[in-house]
Amino acid sequence: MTTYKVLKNEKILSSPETYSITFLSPEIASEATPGQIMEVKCGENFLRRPFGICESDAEKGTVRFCFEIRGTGTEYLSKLCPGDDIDVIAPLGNGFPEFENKRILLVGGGIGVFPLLSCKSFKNCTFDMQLAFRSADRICLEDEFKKFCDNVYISTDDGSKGFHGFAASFLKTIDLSRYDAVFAVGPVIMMKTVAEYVMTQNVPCYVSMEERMGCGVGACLGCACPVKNEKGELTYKRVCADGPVFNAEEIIWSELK
Amino acid sequence: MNTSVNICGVNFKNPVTTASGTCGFGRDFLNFYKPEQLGAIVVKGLTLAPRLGNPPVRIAETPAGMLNSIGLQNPGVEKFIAEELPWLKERNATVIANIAGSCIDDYCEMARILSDTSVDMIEMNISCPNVKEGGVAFGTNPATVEKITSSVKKVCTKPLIVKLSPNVTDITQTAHAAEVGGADCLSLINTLLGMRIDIKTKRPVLHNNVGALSGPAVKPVAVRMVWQVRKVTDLPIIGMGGIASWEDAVEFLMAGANAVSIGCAAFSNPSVPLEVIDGIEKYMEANNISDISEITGSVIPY
Repeated sequence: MTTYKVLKNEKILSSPETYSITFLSPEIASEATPGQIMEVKCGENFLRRPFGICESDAEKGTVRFCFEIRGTGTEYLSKLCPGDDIDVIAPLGNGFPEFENKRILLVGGGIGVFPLLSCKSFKNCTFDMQLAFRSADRICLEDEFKKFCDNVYISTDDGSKGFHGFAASFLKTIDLSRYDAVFAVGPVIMMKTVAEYVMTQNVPCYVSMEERMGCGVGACLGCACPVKNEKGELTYKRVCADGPVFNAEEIIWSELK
Repeated sequence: MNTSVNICGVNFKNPVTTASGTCGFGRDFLNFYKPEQLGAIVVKGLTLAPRLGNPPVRIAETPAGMLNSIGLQNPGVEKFIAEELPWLKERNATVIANIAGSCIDDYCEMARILSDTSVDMIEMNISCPNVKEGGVAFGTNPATVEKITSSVKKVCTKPLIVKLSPNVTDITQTAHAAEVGGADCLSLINTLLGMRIDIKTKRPVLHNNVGALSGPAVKPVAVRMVWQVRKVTDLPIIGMGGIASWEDAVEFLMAGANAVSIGCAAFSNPSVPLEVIDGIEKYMEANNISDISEITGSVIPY
C-alpha cells in the first residue's frame, strides 16, 4: 500500500501559489534521510511527480513536502484536504551525505529551498543558510530555517531584499573556508554557477538534481544525469535511484541545458 | 485451476510478464514484486557493446500515457550475463533477454552469445523507435523482418521471440514474415512513434525530438493488432500495450494472446503486475475457467 492520509495542506505563498502538505506515514517518516525524494500520484495524470522530502518526523510519523503550482499535477495536489488520501512512494534515492560535527552552508534557489529544510535532522552539524529568491515577495520558510541555522542570509535577483544578485555572486562576498561542505539546490544554472565557484574554493559541493521521471525507482532510465565515469568520460546516472544528490564534481555541467 | 502457460516449451507460472525497458533487470521493483513471481521477466534491451543512451530530456507525459527516448542505455550483453543473469536465475526467475542491434550480424552475435547462457528465451527488438540505426527500420519492412529472423534463427538455440512494430500499415505482413523466417513466438506491440512540442519554447520536449508512445492511450491499437495477428498465425503471442489492470490483460488474452506484458503502468502503480496475476485468477474462479488457455482467442467477433 502506498496510500496515506493528508493531515495538513497550507498555502505558504500566494504568488506563485505555493503549498505545504503534511501526511501521516510512520513507515516513510522513520526511513527517510535528508535529501531523499518521493513520487506522488497526482490525480488522473499518468506519471507520478517527484518532490523532495521537506521534513520527516519519525516520532510523529509525519512527512512534509512543499511545491509551487506548475501544472495539472501540482494543481491537483493543491486541492487536497486533511483526511484525503495521498498516494506516495518514498523514500527514494540517495540524499545528502551525513557528516559528523561539520559546518555546512545550505544554498537554496527558489523552490530549491524546500528539500534543504530536511537537513535539520542532521543533529551533529551546524548550518548556515542562504535563501536565494527572485524577489522579496517570493521568500518563504525563512523562519523555519532560522530555527536550525546559525545564520540565514537572503539574496534576491532584483535586490528587493538582502544581497542584490544571484546566489553565486553572494557566495563571493563571504568566506567559504569556514565551511566543510556546501549543499546547493535550485535551478540548474544556479547550481552550476554555485558549484563551479565553491569548487574553486576547494570546498566539497553537493547538489540535488531534478529531471522528468518515469518510474522513480531506477528501472526505466528516464531521468538521466550526465556524469563522469572513472575515465572521465560521459555516462548517465539515474536521478531517482543514484541521486538526486550528487557530488558536483561528478556532474558534467556542460551537458545540461 | 491452471494459470501457467507453456510458450515454446518454456513454462511460465502465470501469463504475466514485465516488458523490456520498464523493469530494468528485476532489481528496482523488489519492494513491490519479485521477478520470480512473474510468468517471466523481459529484461532491458541489450546491445553488444555498452550503450550510453540519449541525452535528457528522455521522458514526456501524454494523455493516458508517456513518451520515452531512452535510446537503449544498457551495460552490454556481457555485463548482463556476468552481473545480472546469475542473480535472476538464482531466484528461479524465467528470463527473456531482449536484444537490439544496428545490423544483422549484431543480432546474430548476441543470439549466439546468449544461446550459451541460462536465459530461457530471446526476444528480438527490431522495432525500437529511439535509435538511429537498426531498430524500427528493421521492423517495418516484411522482407527485412524475414531475413533477420532467419539469420538469427540459424545461430539461436533458445526459443526466439520477434517483437513487432505497430508503426506499419499492416502488421499481419510483418507477423507473417517473422513466422516464415522461423520465429518461435511473436510479441506485440512495441511502442508507437510520437512527439510533443513545448509551445512556449517551440522546442520538442524530448531531446531526441521524437519518442516512443506507450501507456493506456495505445491499448486499443494493441488489442486490435493482437487480434489481427492471431487470425494469421498459430504461433504463441505475448500481447502488450497499455495494460494497467487485470481486465486489460483479459482483453489481450481474448484477442488471442497466450501471455501478456505489463509496461509503463508499473511506473504509476508498481503493484500492477501482481494485481493482474491475482485479478486473472479471481476472474477464472468466478467464471469456472479451469485453464488459462481457454481465454486465449475467446473473443466472439461480429
